[in-house]
Amino acid sequence: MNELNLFFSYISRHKYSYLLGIGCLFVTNWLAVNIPLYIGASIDLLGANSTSDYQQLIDYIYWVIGFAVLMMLTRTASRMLFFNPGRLVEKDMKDDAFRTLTQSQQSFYRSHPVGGLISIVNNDINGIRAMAGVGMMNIFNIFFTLSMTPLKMWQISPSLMLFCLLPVLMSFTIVNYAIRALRTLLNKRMQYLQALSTTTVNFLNGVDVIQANQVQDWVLRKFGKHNQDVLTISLAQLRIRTFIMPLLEYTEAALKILILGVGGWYLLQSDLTLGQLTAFLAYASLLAMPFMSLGRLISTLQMGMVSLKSMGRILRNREAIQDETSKIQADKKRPLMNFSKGIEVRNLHFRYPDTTAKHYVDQEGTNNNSFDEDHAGFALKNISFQIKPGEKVAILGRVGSGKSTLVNCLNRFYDINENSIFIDGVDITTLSRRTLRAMVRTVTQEPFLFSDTLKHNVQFGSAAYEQVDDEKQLSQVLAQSAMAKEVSLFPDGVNTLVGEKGILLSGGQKQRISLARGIYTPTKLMILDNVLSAVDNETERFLLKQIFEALPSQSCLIVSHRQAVLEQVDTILLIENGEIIAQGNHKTLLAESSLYRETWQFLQTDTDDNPESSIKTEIGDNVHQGGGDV
Amino acid sequence: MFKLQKKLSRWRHFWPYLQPYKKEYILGLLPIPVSVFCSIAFPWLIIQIIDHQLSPQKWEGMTVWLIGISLVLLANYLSSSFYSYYVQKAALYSIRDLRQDMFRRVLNFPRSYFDKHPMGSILTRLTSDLEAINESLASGVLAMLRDVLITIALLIFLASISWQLTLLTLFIAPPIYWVTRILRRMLHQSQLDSRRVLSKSTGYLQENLQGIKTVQLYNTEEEAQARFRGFTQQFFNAQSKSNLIDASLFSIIESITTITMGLIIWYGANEILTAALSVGVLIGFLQTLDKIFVPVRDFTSQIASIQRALAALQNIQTLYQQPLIDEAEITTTSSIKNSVMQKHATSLDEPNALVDQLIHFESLVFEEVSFRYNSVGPYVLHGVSFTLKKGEKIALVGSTGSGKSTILRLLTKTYTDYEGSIRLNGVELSQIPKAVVGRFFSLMQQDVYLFDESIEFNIGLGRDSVNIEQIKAAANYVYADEFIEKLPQAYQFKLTGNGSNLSAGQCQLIAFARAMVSGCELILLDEATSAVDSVTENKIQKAIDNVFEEKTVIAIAHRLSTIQHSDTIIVLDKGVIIERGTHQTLVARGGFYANLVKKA
Repeated sequence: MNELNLFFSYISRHKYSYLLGIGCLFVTNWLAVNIPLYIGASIDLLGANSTSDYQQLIDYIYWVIGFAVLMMLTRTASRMLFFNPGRLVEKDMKDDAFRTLTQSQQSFYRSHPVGGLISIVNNDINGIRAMAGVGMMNIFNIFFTLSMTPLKMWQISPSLMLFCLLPVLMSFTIVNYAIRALRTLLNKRMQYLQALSTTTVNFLNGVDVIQANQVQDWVLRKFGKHNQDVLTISLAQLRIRTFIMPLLEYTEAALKILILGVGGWYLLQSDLTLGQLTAFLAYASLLAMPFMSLGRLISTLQMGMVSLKSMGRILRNREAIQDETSKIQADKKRPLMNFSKGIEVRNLHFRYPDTTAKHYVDQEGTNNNSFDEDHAGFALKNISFQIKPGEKVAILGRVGSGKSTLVNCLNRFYDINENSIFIDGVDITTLSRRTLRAMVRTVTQEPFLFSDTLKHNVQFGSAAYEQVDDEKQLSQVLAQSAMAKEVSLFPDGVNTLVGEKGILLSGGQKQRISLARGIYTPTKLMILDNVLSAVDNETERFLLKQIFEALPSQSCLIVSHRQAVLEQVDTILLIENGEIIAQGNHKTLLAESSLYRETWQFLQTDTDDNPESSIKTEIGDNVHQGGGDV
Repeated sequence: MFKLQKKLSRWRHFWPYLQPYKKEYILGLLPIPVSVFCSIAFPWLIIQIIDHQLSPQKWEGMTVWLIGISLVLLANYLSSSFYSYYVQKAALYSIRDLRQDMFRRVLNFPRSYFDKHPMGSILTRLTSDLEAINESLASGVLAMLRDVLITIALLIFLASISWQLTLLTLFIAPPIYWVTRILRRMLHQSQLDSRRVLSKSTGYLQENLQGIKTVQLYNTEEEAQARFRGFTQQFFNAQSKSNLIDASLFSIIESITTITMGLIIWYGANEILTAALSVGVLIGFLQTLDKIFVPVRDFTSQIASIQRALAALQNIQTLYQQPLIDEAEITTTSSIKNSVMQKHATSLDEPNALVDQLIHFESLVFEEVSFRYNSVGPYVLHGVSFTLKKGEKIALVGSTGSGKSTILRLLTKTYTDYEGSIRLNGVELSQIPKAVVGRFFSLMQQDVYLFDESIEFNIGLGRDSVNIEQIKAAANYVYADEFIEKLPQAYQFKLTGNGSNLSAGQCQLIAFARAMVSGCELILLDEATSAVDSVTENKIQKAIDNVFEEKTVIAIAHRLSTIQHSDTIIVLDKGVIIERGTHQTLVARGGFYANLVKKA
């Protein structure tokens, strides 16, 4: 019962609120069962002639009204006292889940797709909140009503109470069964609706193809099938909802008939007064109510448990975080690292933890998936090189050769083996990621911008983010990344909102903003993973100059196949199939490596050279992930 | 009710969807009078039993009353269940038809609609909005119709047995209505607030998880956590307010009902003393009280639920206001069409006539074509002219935003409303229905779209005119059959997730095969820039070479070889043709193109 432990660890923080709520519920229920007694007593006094009886009657009515007002207060209070901690549990859990998620590593995200995680934090939390709020309340509320109401009825007439209990139990059994069936149908219906949505989205994505090829009829038939599925399941649901669910409501009315019949008989035997009979009529509805909510309570608890299980998957991923926390502590004791000896990679091997091929690979292995290129399963093999302080290094290689994998090992986005990568002689697996990433800054291939202002996107991750803005540094960085002129044309300048994932910007602009973010805070080693792919050649030369000259002491690792980069760096690592096959500067490689020479010749794009080349040469249209032609 | 009726009459064009199920709707409404009658008969019988049997303490005749009241109860159960079952069943059928019809419309919307409307909103129309109508029908319209009738009937009944007590009850009803109305409005507002905060925090969560790499590589985990805590705190605050309102709403009704009971007894006590009232009537009143208050309490929520349904209907109606592709064409080109129809004996409504005229490609002429995506935006094409004759190849070159793709989009009629003249075989493009244009040439696109179906289907698209031999021939033509044959089940291999179970290059080849299977002579080629593995790249290259040998081609070209094989290279910059000629002449000229080639 791991889920329950998790649940109680959260609700126990609010135990006083719950206790007070239980108290209020008790009072509320006590008042609720006593009101019919007073009403019954006053009915018995109707028609009495003596003034004292009349006075008594008026007193009873005062009591009833007083009780009603008091009940209003305690009922409200009890609901608040249960619902608020429910909401607090929701908040605490969401905060904790988010904290865990932001610190979870790639290995976790590989096995847990982001969509599912979002759904847990957004949807499953509702089930947990319901359990902690209305669920907890109903547990006690049902307990009190189901113990107090029959008790009061028992006090008036034990046998009549037993007569009443029977139909209630019967219809409860039927309705409870129906609720269960309904829930199954509901889940199925959600699935069908989901399938309908997925199909719709798929087809809408291809609406151009569908229109151009006139396959609307076929598409409509497919859609119609899903549509029909939804209808069929809705009808099954409707039958239960309209014919079985109202049974409880009618049971209450049936109880009244029973009370009139049996109670009437007792009345004639003088075992019961008319007032007591009226009280019983009132108890009939009090008795039916908790049964109605009992069904709901059961489903709330069931859903809550399912949700807790999902949530547990996130919250239990804490070991990695504790490991990180302890490493942060260890780093504090370590002498401050200043990258004086640079970074060294020694015999780095890397294999993706999950090597089952995601794609179907045909016999020739002509698969575009870089993850499973190699038969041994290693994406990187025997990689060794060094970057000294201030040194500029380039990585060159084909698509899928392992360039980005290497980058993601250097910044420990992927988990690597011990004793593979060292900074100042310290194995980076012993460092906390926080310390490492303060020294190693990566500008990723796919720029990710947040739906915030341009300024905040550039300052992202710097100390200045929340504090006073350093306008001078900002404008300097924008100039260095060749964004200054464009920013000045934006309607709100640096305060322009760049939209969800930066959709308002072109691919090149996004890359340059991402680059500006990278150089905003000075660091020891800057990694640029194919960042310049969407900028034109002149801008590229300008950017390189900025990166190399403005920050001479900063080491740089650049993944690129651009001539300008290759000519200017100190060392080039030529990677093929996860291995470094040549290493050296432009001149030495030209002399020593035939593959480098070939590649270099392609990049030269002397047009008469090798026209049948199967290596594609991009002309003109480098900016392809941009905003289209609009 | 009257206002509602007026509102409903605005939705007249939804009636065709109700029409086929008229019988079910009427059958569903028939039990209502029975249900209303039973709702009154039940309290009346209780009063009779108390006054005639229990008060005088007499048993004979009691069984008759008890059987009678049981039958009334049973009749009530059956009639109200049948009522809600049949009406909702008919409604579900209507909704199914409506959804099918809406999707049919959407499939025939012009491209410009999809540019302006995110797919999510279309999906919402087809799913959530229809669901809202379905749900509010049950909890809103149907329940309210019955409740209103029963409440009115009950009030008449109560007034007839004691108008004084009824007046007393009515005195309580308006405050209940007002209190719930005010509270519900407050509740609605605070729920809106919390939903706004929630959607913000959801957005933040989503963004951070999708950009988790950036968040972690920049050490911003703690900042993100602090901001997220801010959102959850705001959400909590908004929710607590909702809770308070909700809790008081719940308890106030309960208490007012009880207080009214006290008042009724207090008043009744005096009346009974003067024998103006019987005990049975008093108890009957007490028992009926909640039957009157509950509908009054629910009234506001039912109104809200009907408003939701109307809002959903209004959303759906926007789909009916959007003209379909051909409807849009008819409005813009009706005048031209009329003149053409006078010339030709055949009607242009009959696409076959045009298919005959356009079955063999002769020429394509662009004459001073200008275009902008909307009437206020900048021109993306400006005075573009060129001619393409049968067998010729044109390569379009230029950077993003130069207008290359726009030329293809105009040709495929993805966008209309161009200025100038585009003529296919001498026929103005705007006069040719999109369906005919679609058959006239094949588009080899870089954005590959694949159905979650077999490869055979994805190439042939289930058209009757295409058999498996033709599909294999087409695959063979683009060098795709080799890898297809190696797949398990070969041509029956089922693709999933837009071809995610194949490599990008393989998907491209399948799309090529699809373009070739129709046997069109004019090929529009939009070359992909994304990288594929070298073996597939080689096949793609060979496939394109094949196409170039036999077909007429307009290509948005990135590969050097594609460009070199073209008869004419058109260099575009900002929507204007700045250079044209063969590869050699352009390189020799040393202009923009030569520069591009040198730089790359």
